[in-house]
Amino acid sequence: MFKKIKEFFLLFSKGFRDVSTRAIEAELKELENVFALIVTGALTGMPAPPSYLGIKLLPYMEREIKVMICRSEALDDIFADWFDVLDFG
Amino acid sequence: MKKVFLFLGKGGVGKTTLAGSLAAYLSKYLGRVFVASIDPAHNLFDFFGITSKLGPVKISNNLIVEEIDINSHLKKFLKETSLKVKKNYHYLQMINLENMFDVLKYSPGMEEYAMFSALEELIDIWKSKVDYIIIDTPPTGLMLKIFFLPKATLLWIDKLKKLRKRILERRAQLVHIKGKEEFGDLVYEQEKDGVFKELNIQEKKAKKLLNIFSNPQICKKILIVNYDELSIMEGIKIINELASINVPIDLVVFNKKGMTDSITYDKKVENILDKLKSFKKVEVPFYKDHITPRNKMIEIAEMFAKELL
Repeated sequence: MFKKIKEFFLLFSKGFRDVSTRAIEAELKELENVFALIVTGALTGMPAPPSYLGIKLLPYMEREIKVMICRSEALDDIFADWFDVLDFG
Repeated sequence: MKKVFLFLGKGGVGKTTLAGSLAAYLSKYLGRVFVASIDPAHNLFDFFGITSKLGPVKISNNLIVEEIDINSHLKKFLKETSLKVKKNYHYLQMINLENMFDVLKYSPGMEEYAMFSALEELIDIWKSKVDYIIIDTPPTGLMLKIFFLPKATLLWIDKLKKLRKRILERRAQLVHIKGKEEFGDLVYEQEKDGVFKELNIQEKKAKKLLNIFSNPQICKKILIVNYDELSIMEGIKIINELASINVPIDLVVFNKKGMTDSITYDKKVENILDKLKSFKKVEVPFYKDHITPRNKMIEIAEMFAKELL
């Protein structure tokens, strides 16, 4: 009985934490996306750091590049994403 | 290491000749000297009559000469990077990245990076082994880019570090709220973040080179011009560009004086020369004979060396 109550509260608390961190997670993804876009800017026609600096950072940017690709694939839904985070609709 | 000498100027004004001559002079009278050319079209070995083409060559007990192979620097850098990418990107283990990376050497900006990196590396290697380092540089356009690269790099690194700090802060917040198990191996500490560590390494390298360039006690910049309008105009451009990043010229050498039978300066050249009057100036005459015998080199260097020491 106590175990079930404890599980219920844990789930409840996890739900709260998930909701409260959604905005931070969305901001983090956006920041990682921007970081990858800046570093690889020369490829997308944006002002970019010296090419060698981008190449030097490349080995450590697997996560950011994955985020950037996901974000670019979901560009049509970018407003939907943010409305979801802000709980509109 | 007591001093670094950088010879700058338009192509063909005599940078290699004067750099080589100064090397011969300093190694005879004042100490151990390393002289290197980072010009992709170098002929420093020809000047010293060296036929070997690889690595540093010892000419005498006090004199070492090297023509830096920029291409091999670039290849080494790209090979190291492709190996790191392969190691860190899980889904690229089976692909041969080296061939893909090989193409990057043709990217804009890679040549000046290779020279910047070669310069930084050779100063690092030789500073504890010799008293004087002399660098024969490539012609103006490329050399100015090398001078500006550390400054541009530092500006970008500053911005990228600020952005990276925000990323790591957000990651740390998430890990603290939701627990480590939710995010696997997500890095949120500056000391463990590969990107942040690499930014710090590159910042250190750029600052080191910029500090050397802008320290008038250690680094002497010698501008070589001839008595012709184009080389002087280009010299003035070098002076102005370097002044914008606080890198002053220490000496202007007017090389090959008297090369033409009658030098007639029109008003235009006189006006240009006027712009150089605030600089320390030395004239070196044009030599019709070969200048490669060692005593001839020393004779040439004696005309300007004292101004630099």
